[in-house]
Amino acid sequence: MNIRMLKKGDLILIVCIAILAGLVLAWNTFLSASGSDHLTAVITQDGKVIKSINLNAVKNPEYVYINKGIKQVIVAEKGRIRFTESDCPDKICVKTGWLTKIGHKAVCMPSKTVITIVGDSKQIDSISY
Amino acid sequence: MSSKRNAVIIILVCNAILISLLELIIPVPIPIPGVKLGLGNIITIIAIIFLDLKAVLMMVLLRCIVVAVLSKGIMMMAFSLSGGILSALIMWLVYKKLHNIFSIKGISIVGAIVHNTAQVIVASLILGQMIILYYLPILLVSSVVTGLITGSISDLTVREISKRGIFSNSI
Repeated sequence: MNIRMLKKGDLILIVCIAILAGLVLAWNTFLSASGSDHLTAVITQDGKVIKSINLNAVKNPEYVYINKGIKQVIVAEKGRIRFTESDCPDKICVKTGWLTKIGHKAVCMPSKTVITIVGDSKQIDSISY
Repeated sequence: MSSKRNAVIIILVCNAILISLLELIIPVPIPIPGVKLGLGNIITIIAIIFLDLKAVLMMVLLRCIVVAVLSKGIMMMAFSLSGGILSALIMWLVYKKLHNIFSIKGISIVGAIVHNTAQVIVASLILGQMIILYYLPILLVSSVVTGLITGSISDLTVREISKRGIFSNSI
């Protein structure tokens, strides 16, 4: 037997993982597609909501400054929001870029800050009925 | 505890720390907390194959503490420790019980999946927000890719070590 080859278990594992990833991805896509055009960005730190911005109503770029150990700047424009500056070491939050759709998230672990885009619940109800 | 065994453990830990630090220079194209190559895993796999569970866990513990202190800070240690210890345990179990059906590459993929999933669960707890489902698909796919890469390197290394009989007598 050639040990360079993948064994049976490896292949079954890879196929199962691919199916699972596909299913969860489909579920996530379904969730974000079921919303509306109405976008609200929710910024949380330490699990608490610190600001909620209606992205449809933003005219001029709106800045949110976070300064709790780590300095960060979040900018919201019409229909989109992102981290623009951060003092954290890995800068994953800034590299995530613009969030434009319901369900999108940007996470900064060192400062425990999360931006999530949610739909307007009333809007969803009026569409589904 | 023989002194050769101690020396081997120290050498492996030093290698693991160096590899993990070098890995920080490699940019990760996917901006998701926890996604990385996990090259330190190569050393964990070598230890699983040639040493006992106690030595493996000790090595992971030492590596995580040193790498966290030198690079990402103490807070990030929660991630590397939870992921590192759990994935080492699961890889050890898979190697001992299921090595007939899983190759080293498969074991490495299992390790990567456990490592990443544990990290996102810890991240969800720290953030106070469930981010696991959102990140799960990309984490699973990246685990398979990084697991295959580190698994292939581990496979080659393990065969070279066996061929040369470096760890063969009395560890």
